[in-house]
Amino acid sequence: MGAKKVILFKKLILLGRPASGKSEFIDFMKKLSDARRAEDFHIGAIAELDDFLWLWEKFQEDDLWEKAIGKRWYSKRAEHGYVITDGSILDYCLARFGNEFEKRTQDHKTTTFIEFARGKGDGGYQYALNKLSEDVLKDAAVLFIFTSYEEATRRNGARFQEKLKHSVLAHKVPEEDMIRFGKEIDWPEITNNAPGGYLKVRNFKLPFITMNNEPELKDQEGLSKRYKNALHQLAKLYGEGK
Amino acid sequence: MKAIFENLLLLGRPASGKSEFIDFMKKVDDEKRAKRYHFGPFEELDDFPWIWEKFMEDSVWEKAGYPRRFSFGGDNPGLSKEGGPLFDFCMHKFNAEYPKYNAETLFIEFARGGKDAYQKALNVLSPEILKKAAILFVLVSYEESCRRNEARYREKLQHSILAHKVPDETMQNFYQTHDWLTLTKGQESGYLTIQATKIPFVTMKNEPELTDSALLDKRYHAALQNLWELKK
Repeated sequence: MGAKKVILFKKLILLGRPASGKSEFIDFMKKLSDARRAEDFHIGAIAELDDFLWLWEKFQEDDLWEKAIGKRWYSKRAEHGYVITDGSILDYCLARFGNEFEKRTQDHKTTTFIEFARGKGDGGYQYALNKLSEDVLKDAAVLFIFTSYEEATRRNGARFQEKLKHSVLAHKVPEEDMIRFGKEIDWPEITNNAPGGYLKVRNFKLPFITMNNEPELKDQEGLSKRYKNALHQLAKLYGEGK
Repeated sequence: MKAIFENLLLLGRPASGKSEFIDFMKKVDDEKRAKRYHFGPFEELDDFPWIWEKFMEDSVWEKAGYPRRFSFGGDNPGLSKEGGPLFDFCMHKFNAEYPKYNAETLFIEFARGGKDAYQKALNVLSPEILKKAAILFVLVSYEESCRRNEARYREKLQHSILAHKVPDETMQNFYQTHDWLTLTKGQESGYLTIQATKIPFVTMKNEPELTDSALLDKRYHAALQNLWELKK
């Protein structure tokens, strides 16, 4: 008797408003044993590509540019963080996903998380997904972590207050960027409000699941159930779509 | 107090021998390095990787459908004329990175060219860096710098197709001239006053090119001993 074959996502595109719970999802997965993560959640060894880190790097570089030439390229300072002033940096990030992905050694045991948020004003998810490279889109599945704008804003504030307890350097997504990335999104439109199915992105058929992440859960059992349910459905679509 | 340099600013044209100097020091054991050259266990801050990173980012911008910002691409990317401000950025990055290092000796390595090259660059460095600094300028002529740049590239090509050299265009645009000899009034050693900080310097003539370790040792030791006398 052969062992049961577990479907592992090669790439999981993790979308949702800022503070919708994408990072918490990844943190949860990181704490699991490899075997449990694979069997219950279809996720292999974790690799992460998150455009927030690149944006943050550019914001900090802007601090240096400001000193060097008196000009910032992409951002302005805001209370507790930075705000994007030039949307071209978001296109850069979409191209960089492909670039970074190329650099990594791929194997069948790894799931790469590709994490970002996009608002309608920047073209939305439709535009962003279409800008991803073939390497990223091939064998990818999409998990959309859904919270309302109001809930995302509430969590953003709460997360900041929590961080402040540990560091005066805590930052949060400023309101202007919350609006930019989260107030109006095109996800319901491009999925026709379906909770799951396939998205056509260029020549690729990407399975997706929209996981309702409200109410906020903190207990591991509740989260496990929510994630497991969403990822099982997604794995089914992933397997069937091949 | 240990008789070692804390911040050694290692200046000079591309391919003048700065990296070879560091490689040499890496191969010397701690005790000898401290006694003979006045360096403790060291770390390096070199702006070339930051500049290179921008070349790579430019390729991402290109993929995203935007023009390159600082460099020309191709098999051997290099700084374009528009890329000059990157040098100013890097000086501020030295200041930002500096507090993250705590080695006994820190090599801060960069090359600058043009009319106010080193005058301008050194004046951007933070007082925290400058007050512990000594400067070793590795001097070669522009022609020698170009020759070594090419030779080093040919050598690397034998081992890797990813070999890189500073492109001729970048050499011509940025490194033909510099102000070091004006700044130091042609003296081989002495002090520079930067932001009211008196910094010892030695200009080490690095021609003819030496590859023999014993001869390099002699050249480096003489320069560093001179610099240490000024520093202590």
